Amino acid sequence: MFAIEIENLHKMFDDHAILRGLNLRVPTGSVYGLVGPAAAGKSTLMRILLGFSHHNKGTLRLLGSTQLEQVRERVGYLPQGQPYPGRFTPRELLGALGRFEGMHGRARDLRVEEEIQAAGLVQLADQPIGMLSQVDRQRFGLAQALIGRPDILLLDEPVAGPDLPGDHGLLDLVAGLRKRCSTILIATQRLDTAEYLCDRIGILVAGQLTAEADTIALRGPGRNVLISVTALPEAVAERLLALSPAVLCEGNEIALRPNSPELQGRVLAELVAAQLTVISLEPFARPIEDLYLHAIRGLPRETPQPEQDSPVASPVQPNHGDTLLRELLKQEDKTP
Amino acid sequence: MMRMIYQMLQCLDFTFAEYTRSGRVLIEVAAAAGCGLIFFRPGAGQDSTPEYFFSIAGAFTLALCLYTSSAIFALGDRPHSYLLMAHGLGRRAFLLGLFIAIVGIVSACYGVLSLIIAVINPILDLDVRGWILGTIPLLLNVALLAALLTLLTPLVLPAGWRLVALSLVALAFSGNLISGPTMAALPNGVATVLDVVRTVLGAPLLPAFTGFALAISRDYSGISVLVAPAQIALTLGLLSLALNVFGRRELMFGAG
Repeated sequence: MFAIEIENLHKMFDDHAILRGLNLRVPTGSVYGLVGPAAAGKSTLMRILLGFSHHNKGTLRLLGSTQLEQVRERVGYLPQGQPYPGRFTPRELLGALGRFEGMHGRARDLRVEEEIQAAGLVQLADQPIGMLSQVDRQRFGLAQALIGRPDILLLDEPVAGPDLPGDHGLLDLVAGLRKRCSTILIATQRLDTAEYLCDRIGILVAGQLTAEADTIALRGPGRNVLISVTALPEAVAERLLALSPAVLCEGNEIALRPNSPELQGRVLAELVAAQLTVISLEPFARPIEDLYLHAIRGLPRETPQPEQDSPVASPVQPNHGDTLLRELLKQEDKTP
Repeated sequence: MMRMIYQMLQCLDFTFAEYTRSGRVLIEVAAAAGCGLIFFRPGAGQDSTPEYFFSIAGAFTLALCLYTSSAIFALGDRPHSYLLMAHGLGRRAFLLGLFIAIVGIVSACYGVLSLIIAVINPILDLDVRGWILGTIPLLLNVALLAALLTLLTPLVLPAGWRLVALSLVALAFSGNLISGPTMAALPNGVATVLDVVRTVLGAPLLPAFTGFALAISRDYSGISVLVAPAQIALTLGLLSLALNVFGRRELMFGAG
């Protein structure tokens, strides 16, 4: 069963084709990430799903129905750019939006309080939205998207913009949405966000879906990894460097370039023997980036499958700061 | 239908709340007070007759309608309107909500103006019945202008069609500019065509002009009894056109 089914969808704007025969299926109960560069057609697709735009050709089904007007009230939406009237408080605006959804009286008030609590806005519920921080406004955005208990949630760039204090809390809040809404479609330019939040991603380029993959298959260790420790004494660094030319050390970070299970095991053994605390082990140029780069360059690539014997890494929360070593690794890995 | 009316009332409530908080409504109230004080203060040099009151009030409400429409449509033409529509507010309910908000605000200001005048310099020979008889065509004219402006707002008509509509209105009103000697100087054929075009285009505007005259005269005898229904019919026609166009077009709200 698919919550969203799109077949051969075309959208022209003046003489410019925005969507060119888009085919997409989002299974009920899944979190699907639509990733692509700017102007790829992600927001246009969301607009069509919400009825703000009309498509020129193709078939759309929401919750199994082509009568979109009848099922659109079961769709929640987090818009891009936080367009919320700043003079209302979260409590007032949620109440007003609840009324548009047809809620009344005590039931509506209870829903509003429920969403305020779930979004962590209890302390800010009576402050004007215009006074809230960007992160808190996005928390409010999630609350308003859920006020009508939608079956499908459309999130347009849920974690956008520069690194923000509290951004990880927001990511976790978005990640927690899967418990509250059965199907979620996320449009984003950020691969890390999609990888962290989604079960499956599709790469949208110039109005067409050029690649699709399950994120679990994309969470392999990758070619290179970076290990961070609390402190890296010079003696330990020298021993690590002696292990292989593939080992690089800078500050409190150790890069394995290229990585292999054997080398990784030896390096970790050295660190354990030296009683050092490992803070993180992160892959670089993960398969998701590889998939994306191939998709936007129009190159063929096999969809990765999870290997039976290789451990699947946990998704890394985005927005970590970059050191020089990280930058070097990124540049190297992005070179085809 | 009931759902649409419910949504429209919610949209109206939301628009009023936002408009009031924006403080813009103070401009309208101040304008009404200013108009009352300037034109109707004791010793302003004019007899406070009903005709004078409805002439000034008729012009004032139309001018106010232009300002209020621009402010309300600016409020509606912002990205947060996407949010309202994503929560089930239909396009018709949205546009009707804005239209009724304009008519409501202008009517309220007209009420304020009437109250101020009743307090500072009551109009001679104007009782409540006379006030109601003059007010009906006056406010229907406000609704008619608001419906025309609703159709002409960028929310509804694309730029090209807006220009066409404005040119037709300008042509219909061109009688004051191109008349008498100018018309005589035109070749016969051109003058005749212009006359015909003006008559055809001007006919739909007739209720607006006669409505203004009816507000001043308050004489509903003879054919004048049809003026108010004609005003209502023209308003509904313009609104239906606006709703139809808005229902079909791409929603492109401004950046706010």
